[in-house]
Amino acid sequence: MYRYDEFDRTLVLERVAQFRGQVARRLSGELTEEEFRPLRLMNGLYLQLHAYMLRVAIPYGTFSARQMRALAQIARRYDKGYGHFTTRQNIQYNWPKLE
Amino acid sequence: MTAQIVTANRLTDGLVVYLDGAGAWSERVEDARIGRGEAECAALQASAETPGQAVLVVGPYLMDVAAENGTPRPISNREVIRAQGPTVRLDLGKQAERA
Repeated sequence: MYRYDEFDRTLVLERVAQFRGQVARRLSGELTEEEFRPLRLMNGLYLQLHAYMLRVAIPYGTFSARQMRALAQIARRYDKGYGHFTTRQNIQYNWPKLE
Repeated sequence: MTAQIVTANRLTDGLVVYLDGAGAWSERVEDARIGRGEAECAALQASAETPGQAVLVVGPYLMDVAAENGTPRPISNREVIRAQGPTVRLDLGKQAERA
């Protein structure tokens, strides 16, 4: 199973802060969709036919029970109570909100 | 004479929306304002592409409709599906909320 360490944690926190800023700038109009699109794609956020889709990669398709429960909580709190495990061993959320 | 409406995805949640008679965005295709002929349709599209709209919706475009008693009905398969919601798991998507 993938072992997360402090480097990973720092990277994730920095990336989250960066994307949060980019989303805020898109919502305020400071960034156009053309400017924002490559940025959201780099963070796994796709705009599909019916809604946004957020793809979360699961390294080696392997995770702990605790991690599984966290993903489930995210589905319950931020989505419609379900997630989609793909053939690529990712999980995708089909109804996330940008805001 | 071509009958068209303007559709887009809402920025905040990516949901399918249609430009209504009040210049606002509705999730229901029945609310959409119909443009008849090239000039009217071009004006509708232009009104959807302003900077003010860019913080509300993503990628507005004109789509053909059949106007039945003034109520727009999507024609192409793609637009029918966009209006009705996902074709799998009807218990999870747009149809479930409408029910």
